[in-house]
Amino acid sequence: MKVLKTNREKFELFLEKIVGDGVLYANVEDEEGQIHFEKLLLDQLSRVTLGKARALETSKAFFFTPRTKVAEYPSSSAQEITATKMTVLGLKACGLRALQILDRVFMDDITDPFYQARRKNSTIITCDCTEPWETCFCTEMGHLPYPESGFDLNISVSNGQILVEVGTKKGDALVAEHSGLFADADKTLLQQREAKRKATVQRVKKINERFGISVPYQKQVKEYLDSPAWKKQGLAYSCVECGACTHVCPTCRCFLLFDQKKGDHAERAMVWDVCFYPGYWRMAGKLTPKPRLLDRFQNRFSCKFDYFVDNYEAIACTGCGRCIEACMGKIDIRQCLSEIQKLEKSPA
Amino acid sequence: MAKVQNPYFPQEAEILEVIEETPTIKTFVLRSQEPIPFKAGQFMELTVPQLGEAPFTPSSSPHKPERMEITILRTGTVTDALHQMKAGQLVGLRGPFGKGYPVQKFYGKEVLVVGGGVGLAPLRSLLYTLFHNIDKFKRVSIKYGARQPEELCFQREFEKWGKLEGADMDVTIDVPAPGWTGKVGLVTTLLDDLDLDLKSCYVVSCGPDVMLKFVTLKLLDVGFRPEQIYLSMNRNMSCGVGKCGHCVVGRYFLCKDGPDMNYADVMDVPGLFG
Repeated sequence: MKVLKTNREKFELFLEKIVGDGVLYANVEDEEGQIHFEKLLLDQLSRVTLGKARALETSKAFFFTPRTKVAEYPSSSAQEITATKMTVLGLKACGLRALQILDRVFMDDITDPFYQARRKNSTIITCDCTEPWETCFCTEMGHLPYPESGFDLNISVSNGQILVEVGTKKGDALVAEHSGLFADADKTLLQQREAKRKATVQRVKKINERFGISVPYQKQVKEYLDSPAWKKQGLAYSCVECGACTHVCPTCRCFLLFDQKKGDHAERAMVWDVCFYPGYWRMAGKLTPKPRLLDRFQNRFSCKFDYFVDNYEAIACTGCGRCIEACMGKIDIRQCLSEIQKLEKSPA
Repeated sequence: MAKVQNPYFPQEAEILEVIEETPTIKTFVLRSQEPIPFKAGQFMELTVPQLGEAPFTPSSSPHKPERMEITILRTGTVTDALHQMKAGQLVGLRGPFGKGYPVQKFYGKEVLVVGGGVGLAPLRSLLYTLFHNIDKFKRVSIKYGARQPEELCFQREFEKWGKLEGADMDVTIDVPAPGWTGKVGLVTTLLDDLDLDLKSCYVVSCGPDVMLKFVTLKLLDVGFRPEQIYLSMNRNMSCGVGKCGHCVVGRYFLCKDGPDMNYADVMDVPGLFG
């Protein structure tokens, strides 16, 4: 696909057009160097941060919101489903990957119309990751810190120039509409982009050297997750079942349909749920198939590295590392996988 | 533009009649705005307005979708509220969900139906399906158990079922009770000396997890292969469309791939029966 170039000034003009035609969520950096997603208005575009690393906020929240009203009843027919036109600027490859995984869940043979409406009305402008966090491990999940496809537009910053790669017809139309702001990218810039990308890959690999983990994980998770040897490591012992890891995880998609009285009618909401909670599994009569924390802890690993591979041909982990940052029990998913893979090499 | 289906929206249904099966089990006869066609074993999400919904498998014949019956044990928030409801009141329905029992696979075979307590409810829908074409099956053998005589549901139909040409029925209660002259013992005791051709027989079982576990172990013990056993499994399905995650059993979503699972497919799942 074609790659164009522009500069910061022109790029902000481009963003002005976008803000005029919907809502823009983009990355901004706070005083501590943390990257966030914020809804930006016309006079705030100078705050946009391009590149750097993935934002603190989980990417799923744009499309699979923490609470979605899905029905009002009694009513003779379902309400119309609409979504605001939205541009998300600054997802890194991991965030995009997460969306591609959620697409498979929410838009398979039975489509979730709420997710679908938001996806259809959104434009995704990704950025190359250039300064990965110490918790990043996308390479160890078999991915790259820059996206190769699936974005509408992708941004790379090189020597003060902004490279814009076109990924879809929608992205192509968007730049064509404002063609005066873009020019073809020259070879030198592309070579510089390539060198930067390679350096980031090396950086992520270096961060994770100490864990010695590598794809695939399915076989080992299947065989050793339930083994006494793995349990003996005690890696789950500091879990307090707070659910932080699943809330920040961009691919954790469990939810509950929750009804509430609203005057003389009722509203049904889809709210995020957490497979670590005992109540997630509990049935009427207080029966539960997963009574112990360890059962539920294992479910999260089996779900991501085993069941998802069978059902959706993808590992449901993008290596974004948010769960590591969020865990108050200091549980590191890389350490857990590392112990599982070690067991294969030398079963205890 | 084609109207987008909202799988979470409940359509209204009227309670036509409430039948008291036992002190804790009631059958609700429902009529929805449009009849909802379903297959035996498929389940519905039933909404108590303003409170919430829970999954139930209809207990009535799929050949009568205009009069859907759902038989419910009073055991939790939604079921408590349901048991207070009367004819004429409105509930919500979504579904049907799941695959249902693989009835065609049973053609020409003996079918052993093993139920426990209110677990006979989904099996009743299957029985009606089998009875509708009883000539297609070599034999239908029903084994049913409950803790005490008052907890046996559909007793009014037992005699009719047992007398059907090509069918037989055996009932037991867990512990002796005054006035009970029938068999006493867990339902597994009815599986001891089966007069069935074990090689060409399928088993379908529904009941609480602990019963499913011991029925399965017993069946394997008397010589059935895992592939011959279908279990109607229990989880707290929420969405019904394979997305919310609550009903996973290994890689399977009970709401989409079940809720009736071939034991061979799920036997290796850790903690299958809790």
